[in-house]
Amino acid sequence: METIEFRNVTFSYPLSDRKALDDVSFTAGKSEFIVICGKSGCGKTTLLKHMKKNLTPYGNFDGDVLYCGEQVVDLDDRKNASEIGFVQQNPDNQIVTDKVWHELAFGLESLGMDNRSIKRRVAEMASYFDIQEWFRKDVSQLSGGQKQLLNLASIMAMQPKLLVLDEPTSQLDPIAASEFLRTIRKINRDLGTTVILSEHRLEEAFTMADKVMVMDQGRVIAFDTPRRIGSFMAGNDDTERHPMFYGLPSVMKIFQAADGKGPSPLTIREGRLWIDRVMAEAEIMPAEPRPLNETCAETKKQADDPAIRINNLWFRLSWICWISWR
Amino acid sequence: MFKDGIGEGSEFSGYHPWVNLTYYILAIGITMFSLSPWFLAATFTLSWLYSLLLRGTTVVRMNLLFTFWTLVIMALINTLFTHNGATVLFYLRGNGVTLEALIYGLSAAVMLVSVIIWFVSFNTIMSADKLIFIFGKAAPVLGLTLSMIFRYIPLLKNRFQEIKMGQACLGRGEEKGFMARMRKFGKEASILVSWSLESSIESADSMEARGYGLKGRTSFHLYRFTRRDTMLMTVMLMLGAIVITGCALGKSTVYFYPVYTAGNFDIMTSVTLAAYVLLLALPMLIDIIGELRWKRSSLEM
Repeated sequence: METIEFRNVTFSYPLSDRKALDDVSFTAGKSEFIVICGKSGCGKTTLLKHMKKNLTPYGNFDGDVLYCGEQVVDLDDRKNASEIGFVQQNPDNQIVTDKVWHELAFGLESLGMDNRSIKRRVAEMASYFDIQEWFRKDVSQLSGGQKQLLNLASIMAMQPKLLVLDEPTSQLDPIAASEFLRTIRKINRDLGTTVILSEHRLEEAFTMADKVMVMDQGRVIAFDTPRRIGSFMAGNDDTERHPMFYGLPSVMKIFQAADGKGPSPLTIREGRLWIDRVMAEAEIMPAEPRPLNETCAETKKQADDPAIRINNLWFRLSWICWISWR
Repeated sequence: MFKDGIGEGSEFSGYHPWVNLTYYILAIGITMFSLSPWFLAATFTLSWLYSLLLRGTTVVRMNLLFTFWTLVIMALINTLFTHNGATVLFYLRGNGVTLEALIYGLSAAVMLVSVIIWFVSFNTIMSADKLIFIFGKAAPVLGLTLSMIFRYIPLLKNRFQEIKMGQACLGRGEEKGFMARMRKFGKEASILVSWSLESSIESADSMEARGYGLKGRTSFHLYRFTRRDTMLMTVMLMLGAIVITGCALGKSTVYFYPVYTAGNFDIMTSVTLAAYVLLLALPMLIDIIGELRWKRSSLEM
């Protein structure tokens, strides 16, 4: 049984002629990891919001959205709350309570579980997400990355079957973002939760996805494995490039720009192997890596002729910058 | 240790919230209804000591200031406005200023000061968490509301800081003159309100997405009522019962008018007083023993 299925969904916001979703049909199977990409305003958020009953936007709707064979809009409230998890963009706005442990328990409290079972679930989640260290902290003391991780953990405490994430890393710094994405991958691998993720940072998300969906002006223009999405977005030559092509992982961009044939490499490792193979076929020997002392001499030369020279520069972060920067 | 006090990590603070609350209800409740000099001396001294133990020497200045002015003002007001009592000290514009009125003013002032100083340590022991737990027992919604308030205060503060910095970066930081500054403040406040209203939509979504509004919401807490809680609770209730019996028998009652009479200091009075002192000193003893044990264990390592 498919976890989520869209059947010819067309949707437009009130007082708007433009269709936010235009005849969208797709299915996401059990434990699949799906990444949705597209320019901003292409309907990603609208699409994701249709998967959660209480977030379904108001407007002209046509078609069916089914969760495990049931219409999402007719889902039981309890089931909707516990089985479909939704993480939004802003880490701050989703947190409701003052303590980390209380936030973790929020959903379980709503479901009316008793103290003992909540304690167990919360403890489980705290250790799974490495929250033990800041379990008793105030949420205002957390960094953005920790806040978003807390939002995720607080949803995972309810053990959902479907996890929908709407650009969860857009307000995080690169390190926190990649940690967050790794956690989502871990959830998908360990717990078998179906994940649907919309993301800008395709570099990392691409390697995790089972399938990638590309959206443009409310339409699904491609829905395929990440390896094949590359050649689709590249078109036949430079003039046919899709705008989202430039957001692809660099390995894929290089592969397509070099007119690589067949399935595209996803990781840097695969990219290197591919280059070696191509070089060997063309009988070009790769340049020998230069010895270390030579590169040292070069660095030294650069240091003698700097582009900019600064003496006695002091820098201090005010605490508020520091917190948001962390 | 004496500079900052033991603080929130005190041993007594680690007991169950109901135990903490019971202690303060007994301590403050009995303080409010006993004006006998022995009882006043006990509660005054012990409230001071416990606030010192928990908060360190930093509270001395505030405590002293508060004690002094309350004493002066209440004694003055009562002596000037009450003319009951047999011992006239002197006449002021034809009204007798009596010793009894002065004593009553002082006693009431000491009582009031003690209650307030009990609240100094109360603030340290009863953290927001515990209050939320206790209110949450009464009504889950009340606990959650409190918790949300404690969440939003720092959040709004941070946002306001950020708005201020943003405005300063636009060159609106250094306004001169009262009106200009008020206008700037009004602008910042209005930004804060619209920002918060907008983000509250997302908060509401996130709450509903996690099932807020379903029937039968419970309220989660991390506290466990262990054996030591039961023991301390029993001891406290027993001591409390003795003190309250003593008070009911009039052992803590004094008559101010017409002549100040404190009653005889008989055996029952001393038993009541001893129980009272022990009751008030229990957390202090627990804290000191806990601290010593901690020190010793770290020395042994």
